[in-house]
Amino acid sequence: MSAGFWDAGLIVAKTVTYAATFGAAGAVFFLTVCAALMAAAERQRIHRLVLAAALLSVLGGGAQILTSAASMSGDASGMMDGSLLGMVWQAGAGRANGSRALGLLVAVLASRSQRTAWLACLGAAAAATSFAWIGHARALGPDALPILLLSLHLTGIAFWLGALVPLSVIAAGGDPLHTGAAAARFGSVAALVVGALLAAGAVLLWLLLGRSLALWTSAYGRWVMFKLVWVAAILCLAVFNKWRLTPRLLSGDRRAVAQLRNTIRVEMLVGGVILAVTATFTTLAGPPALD
Amino acid sequence: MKGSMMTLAAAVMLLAGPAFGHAKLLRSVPAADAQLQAAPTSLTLSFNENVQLAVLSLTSGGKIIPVTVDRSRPAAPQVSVSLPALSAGTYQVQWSALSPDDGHVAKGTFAFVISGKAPAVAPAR
Repeated sequence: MSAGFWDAGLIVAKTVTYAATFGAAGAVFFLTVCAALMAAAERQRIHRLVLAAALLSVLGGGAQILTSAASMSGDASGMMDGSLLGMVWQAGAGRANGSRALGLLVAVLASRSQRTAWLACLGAAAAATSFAWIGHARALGPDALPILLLSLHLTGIAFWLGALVPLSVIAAGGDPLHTGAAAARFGSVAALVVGALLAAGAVLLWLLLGRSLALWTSAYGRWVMFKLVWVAAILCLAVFNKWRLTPRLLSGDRRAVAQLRNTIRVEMLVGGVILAVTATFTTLAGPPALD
Repeated sequence: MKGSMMTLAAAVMLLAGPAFGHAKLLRSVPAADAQLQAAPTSLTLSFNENVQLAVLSLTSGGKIIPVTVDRSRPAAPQVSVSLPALSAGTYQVQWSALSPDDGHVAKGTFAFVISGKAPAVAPAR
């Protein structure tokens, strides 16, 4: 059966939930790593961003449950069908949405003080990894390894993609030295985090493909290849930021601030495409390991 | 812009295999496109993993035939529903199920034909 209107709605809701959750969690991680380098007004703006993204994440999660029920019934009546909604809730959506909302609440409240930054990071990590409570990695079996790998992957994505808006908030001030200091601090941690997220993603992919790396032989693998093209593009942008723009910012080059703002916009766009592609293939295709 | 949209659409068509590839319907009784002499009294769907049947609608000539789905039943790889007395005609089956392992929706449609004039067997109760 081909995908229909409600399946498209489900994919949109999933994409929004991913973006909002990673945005909120990543901004909390960024605050923890770079708080000492930021002005009070910047920290305030990022706190408001965390709150707005957390609210959007909760709404997106609710929309996912409603559109899943509508997808099953084939029309909007599914959204009002308590028994269908109950089925979706009990099949993992309840656990995922509950842990996400709780994690975000803790992150929002605890990120207001530096003394509770560790607790805010714990909440952010709980929210980012909430997607592991449901989905293909969980279906791989009783083995905990796929869920651990996915959790590591998700936390890394939140750290990376969620830092883009806070970085653009700092770059908006136009001060190259201030922006460069934050970019350098973030970049030094991000190098390790991105390495871990790519390694975890590669091993998880190998498991999902049935202990194989034959990408072209399944629809799922072809979707992953499509995603990897965009991942390669965003990696190139991140490398450009770290190795070319950050040294120029640290040397006081004002034009580098404008360039950083532009590359961050492109990174956000590419990051959005990656999340949309992931939402699409995790909805429409099953991994070969589960066939 | 139009060119890039067409490229994106072509990429999606190239990438997309059969949609909803999580729980897969392995077989059904009656089978898809089956030509039956006698009306079946039940409809059975067999999957590659445990599922909970969410919706099953049966239509013939635009008319909806009422079928009861028990959503409280535990997940199983095989689900059956009782059918009312069916007369000759072409029947469209539309189903959707939820996989409790990954929380994903699976769905599909198929048709079967009853060529006899009257139901051969009384419906199961």
